[in-house]
Amino acid sequence: MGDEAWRAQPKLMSPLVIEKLAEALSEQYRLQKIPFSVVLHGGEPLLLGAKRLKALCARLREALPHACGIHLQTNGLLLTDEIIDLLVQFDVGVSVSIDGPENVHDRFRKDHKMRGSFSRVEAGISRLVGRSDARPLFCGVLCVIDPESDPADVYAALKATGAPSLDFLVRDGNWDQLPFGKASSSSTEYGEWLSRLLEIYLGDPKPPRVRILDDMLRLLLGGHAQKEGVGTTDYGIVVIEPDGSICKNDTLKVAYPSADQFEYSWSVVRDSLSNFLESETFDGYYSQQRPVSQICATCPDLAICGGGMVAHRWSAKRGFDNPTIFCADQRHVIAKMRSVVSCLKAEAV
Amino acid sequence: MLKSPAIAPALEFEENTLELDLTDNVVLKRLIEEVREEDTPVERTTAYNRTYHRHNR
Repeated sequence: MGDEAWRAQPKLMSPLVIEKLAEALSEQYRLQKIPFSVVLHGGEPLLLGAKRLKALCARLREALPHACGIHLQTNGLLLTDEIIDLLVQFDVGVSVSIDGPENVHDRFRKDHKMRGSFSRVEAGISRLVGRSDARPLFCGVLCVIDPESDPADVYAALKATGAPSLDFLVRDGNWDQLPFGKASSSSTEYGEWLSRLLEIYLGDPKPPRVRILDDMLRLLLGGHAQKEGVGTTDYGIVVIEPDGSICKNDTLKVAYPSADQFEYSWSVVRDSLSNFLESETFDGYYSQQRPVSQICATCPDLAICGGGMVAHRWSAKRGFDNPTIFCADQRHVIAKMRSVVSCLKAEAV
Repeated sequence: MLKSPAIAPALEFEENTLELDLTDNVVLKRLIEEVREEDTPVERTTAYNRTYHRHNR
């Protein structure tokens, strides 16, 4: 799923756009005085090559203090020692996309020659982890769930990478187009998969972090979530495209073509980022993450799932006025978590 | 468009069937500790955290 808007973008961010972006981010940090993170993602950001990556990171680091994180979401294939040197030099955190053991990962992640990429991803992670100067940069791994896989195999493979944190994404879908592996809107394939993952996680005496499960459990324990897509905390995510245009969260492209575009085309080259962030346009986009569906408004699990990802609420008929297409899955795993927390409280009495 | 439920019913949840001593569970212990030590909402949602603040795609 997704749109074709990337075809109209230049392949690379020009020096002018990089300069304007760095100036805008520096100014925004000066104004808000609260750190934020900049994430390089794609596509595959390491296709930039070492020379351009160095220029980009150097300018971003010059513009932002270390309180602001610079991160990279990569498929891991191009994690060479030359690239890793740069990541160390500019303190760039790394998260690698890997979907489990070889047979699970290679089912969907193939290159242009239809070769699975697992062995090369594994080699890239090994290079990163094998260097004492780079290992602290390894934030975690990000796995797209194959609901037909065995969660135990996937958990074991991801843990074996040495990542301090594992995170899991459901596959894209909405009310007009079911996600892969989901038989109907009321079926719970992803919920069952995550429930099994929860059991494995809780049974591990030396567990890494599992972000999605930690966030949901923390909410059930009376705390707060730390990332979008869970709970009702608001998050401010904007995407800067290679031509400098300011866009909404790119996950919205899953809903319909150009769903990530604002009506007026804002740009870091032409407009002030701080003016944009204070505009009614941004307010409207920001409030979109709060679910509007009456089903969500009366749901006892809203505080935990937060209505799910905005993109997964879409239908052509009702726009975003729906629960997430993963509603039944979310509620399945939340029910499992409630039983765990309930048991925990009973044991504490 | 697929059919969606008219209302969200409360789900019955089963008794915990895990054969674990949850009081000493590593995952739950560290989460409980974190919840106890949570700071202000602004610091919590924006502070730089290498593990959590990464893109979600």
